[in-house]
Formats: sequence, C-alpha cells, structure tokens
Amino acid sequence: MAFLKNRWAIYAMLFACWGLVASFLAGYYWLQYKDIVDRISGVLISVNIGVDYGNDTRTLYNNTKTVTGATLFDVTKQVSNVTYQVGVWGTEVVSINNVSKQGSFGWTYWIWNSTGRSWSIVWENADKYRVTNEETFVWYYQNDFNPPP
Amino acid sequence: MSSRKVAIIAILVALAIATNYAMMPLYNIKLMDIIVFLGGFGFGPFVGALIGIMSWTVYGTLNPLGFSIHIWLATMLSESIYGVAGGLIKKSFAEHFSGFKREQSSVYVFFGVLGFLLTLTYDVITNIVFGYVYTLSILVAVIVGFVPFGLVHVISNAFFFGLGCVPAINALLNVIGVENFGVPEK
Repeated sequence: MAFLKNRWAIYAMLFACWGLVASFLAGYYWLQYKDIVDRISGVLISVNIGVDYGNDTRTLYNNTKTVTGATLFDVTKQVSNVTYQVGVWGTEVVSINNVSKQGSFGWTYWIWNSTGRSWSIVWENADKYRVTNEETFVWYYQNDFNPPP
Repeated sequence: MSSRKVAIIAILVALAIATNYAMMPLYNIKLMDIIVFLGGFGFGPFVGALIGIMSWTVYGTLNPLGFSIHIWLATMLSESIYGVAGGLIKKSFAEHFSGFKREQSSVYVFFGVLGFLLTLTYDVITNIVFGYVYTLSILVAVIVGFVPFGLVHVISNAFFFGLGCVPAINALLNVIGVENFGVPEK
C-alpha cells in the first residue's frame, strides 16, 4: 500500500469516485428528460399564428405553445375553429373561425421570411408542414395568391 | 478455529442483522456492510463472505419489505463481496502496517473510497437482478436504482468506511490479538 503515501493517488481515487457519481447522475437525468420528451412527444416550442380575414381585420395568436413534430394544421386547430375536408390533394382548410371559402375566395397560408422581410407562400399542405420554433405564419383569406399586408 | 474466534464471528453476524433491523427506517443506510468487511478483514475472505451470506440468510428471509428469492440470492452473494474484499485488503495491509496505529489521513480516505467502490458494485449487481426479475431495462434499473437510494447507500458507506474502519479494525485487533492477526509486530 505504498501508493497511499502519494497524495496524487488519493486525489485520483477521489476524482474517480466523483466521476462515477457524476456519470450516474447524468444518466439518471438523461432518462428523466427522455421520459418527459416521450410523454409530450417532443420538445416545447412556440410559433406565431395570424388569421387575416382580408378585410383589414387580423387576429393574432402569438407565442402559441406546441411541440416539435406538430404541423401548421395542428397548431391552427389549437388556436382557432377550423373546418376542413380531405380530398385527393390532401387536407384542405375550408373555414377558420366561421369564415368559409366561397367561390374563388379561400384560405392560403404564408410564412414570414425574416431574411427577406416579406411573406412567402408555402406550397405544401398545412397538415404536412411541420412548424419549428419561433416561426410566424398567417392565414390569409383572399381570391388570389397575393401576400398579406 | 478457536472457540473465541467462532464466538466473535457469531457476534459479528448478530450485530449485522440487529443493526439492519434497527436502522430500517433509514432506508439504505446500514452498518451491515462495514461489519461484514471487518469480519473479512479479521478472519479472512472466506469467513468474511460467510458472515455476509449468513446475515442475509436471516435478514433477507424475515424482511418487512418482502421476499423475492432472486433478489435474496443476489443480495446474499453480493454482500459477500465486502467480506472477500476485507480479507484481501488485510493481506495487503499486513505486509506494510503493524495494525493501524498510524494516524494517516490517506488510510481513512482509502477506506472511504474502498467502501464507495464496494457499495457501488453491490448496488449495480443487485439492481441488475432487480431489473431482470421485474423485466425492466437493465440500464434503466441500474441508473434509476442509483438515484436516490443507491446514492444514499454509497455515500453513507463511504462515510462509515472512511471514518469507522480504522478505529473498528484497531478494536478488532485488541479483541482477537495482533499475534493472531498475522501482522508482524514492530
């Protein structure tokens, strides 16, 4: 047991003990985190949703909380009253907050492009587009494909 | 083996069992482990292992927390690790020390670390068996079993071993006699 006379051997033993405890604690909290993520099926994120009725009225639902993996359709249903139909082109939004598509008027959705500082249309069904953290969308009721004001 | 040694061994077994029952409200804090270790240190690895096995034979069978044969066998055999380690450590120390008259802090730290590592080994083995018996993921059983009860067990034993081994071994030497301990006298 001559190594006991070497203080660095003592420090090494204590450091090894600390390493083992820290590893187990890290593993424990990783399991806890994984359990929470599995239960809520994703990490919590927030997005901004706007509904523009095309008559200069707009309802904003900023900082809407959702989880990763949610689609724009899921989030829109979460904040507003949505009716929809499923056809050959996928899920189509028919009405939002009782404002239904009529004739050539319907709902399009736009995403805010922070780089270009403009609205960009998304050529993808809302139930296919997975939102990411701090994205901003607006549903625009119109009879064309012009960006919302 | 002399009748005196047999009596001391029986007392160590009784002490291990009694302290376990007495400290039952303090979940996972127990003196049994250091007692088994001391038994091995004083009488060799085989006797030390036997002390651990005999202690768990009684405590594991008449346990208010319940009985599971797989876990009982695992704890019984894992407890013997302390006794075996005590016996092996004795052989190493006997060559270099005359008892534990030396007041070296490094010896206390060494025993604390030894208690830590032995307890960690014991907990990992028993948690693996627990996970197997209750069909849990072994990794989950080992990690979740460590926090918080395993951590309490490990830290308490590091504390008991670190502070208690040297005075307890000195006391044991006084009882069984240094000449019977196999340590060369100064």
